[in-house]
Amino acid sequence: MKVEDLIRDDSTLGSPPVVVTQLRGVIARKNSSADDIAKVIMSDGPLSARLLKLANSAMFGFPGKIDDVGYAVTLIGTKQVYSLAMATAIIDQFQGVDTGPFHAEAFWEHSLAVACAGHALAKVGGHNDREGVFLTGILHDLGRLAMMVEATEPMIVALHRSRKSNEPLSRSEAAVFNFDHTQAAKMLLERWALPPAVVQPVVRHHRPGADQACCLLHLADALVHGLAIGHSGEICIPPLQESSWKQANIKTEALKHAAAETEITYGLLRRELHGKPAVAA
Amino acid sequence: MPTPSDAHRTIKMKQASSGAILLDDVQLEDGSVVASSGTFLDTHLITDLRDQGITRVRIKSSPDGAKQDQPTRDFMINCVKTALKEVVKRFRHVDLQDPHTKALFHACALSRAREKLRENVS
Repeated sequence: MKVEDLIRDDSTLGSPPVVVTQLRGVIARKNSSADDIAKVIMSDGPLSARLLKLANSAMFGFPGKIDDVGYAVTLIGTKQVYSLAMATAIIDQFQGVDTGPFHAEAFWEHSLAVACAGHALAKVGGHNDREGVFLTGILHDLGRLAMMVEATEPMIVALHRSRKSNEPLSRSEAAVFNFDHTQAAKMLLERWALPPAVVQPVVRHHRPGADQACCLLHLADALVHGLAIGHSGEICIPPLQESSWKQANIKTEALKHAAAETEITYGLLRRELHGKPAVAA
Repeated sequence: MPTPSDAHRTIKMKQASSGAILLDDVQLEDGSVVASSGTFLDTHLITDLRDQGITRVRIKSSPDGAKQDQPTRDFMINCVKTALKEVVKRFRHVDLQDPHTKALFHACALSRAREKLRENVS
């Protein structure tokens, strides 16, 4: 199978949520203002409500109650609100897709937890664009979701192969499909015309190299696999690039704080975004 | 004297909940073991078994297999041991000599042991 065959115009994940396209258009315009972004978000009532819940969550720790999208954009920042709105819209649109025998809810639990872990690690590492890392956490395994939805049978074969041969699932995917979920994500997110700053960490989250955003996502994925929150098909921590700790400026003593914060923020967001209490695996 | 039906019961995976203990090894059609007897079912394992097409399992019945109101010391030690075994399995592809990875292991082991106790003690 070719990766091009997986992601087509008529595929379930072939097109991004409408609001993502609209936001991308506004951000791309040089003269766009905070008001323009707020207008796009407010045109989608449920999205606005969820975004405000997210902005008011303990994770971001903004003082006072944010009860207006325009105020959120002013307070949090254009880029940050854009990231959070995208993350929220993508969860809204795709959390209900039919994944056959795969457990969709557990998949999104894993993605949300990686987003929270990325945010927590970015915080302890002193990085500014925490919302950007949060967005890449939501997106990081979207290629695997596309494989579960569009190529269910081969994905089951890959899953069984991974368990039997005790190899990381991405390696089994490559053996069965001739590509893995990171290559599927590249195809998918480039079709969605998302910027390289978003696409690159997703594509390189198993091979981050020296890029900080890629390293943060790589480590966030490892942390969540270690904590066993949610389930994306992988049952072990994928091979870890040890230099990532240094690249992401994460100290050993900060790890337990990041782990605890991940569990707490994940629990809160799961309840706020999905109306459900957290269920650790 | 307990009868065999007191000692175990078969449950559908759709109805499985965390806290129960597997009576038998769970095997795929080709005979490969995907979960060993004596393992605690938790939400992660339940999802994984369902993904792999397992529809029913046999579990130990009360008093060993049910949630405990007043857990014994042995029961709690068993919970922590099971949690640690799981975490060790999760870290099998990474090098625990690396100080950061070791710190990650400790953080995850602590969290999992705490969670396992919470899941199994009502």
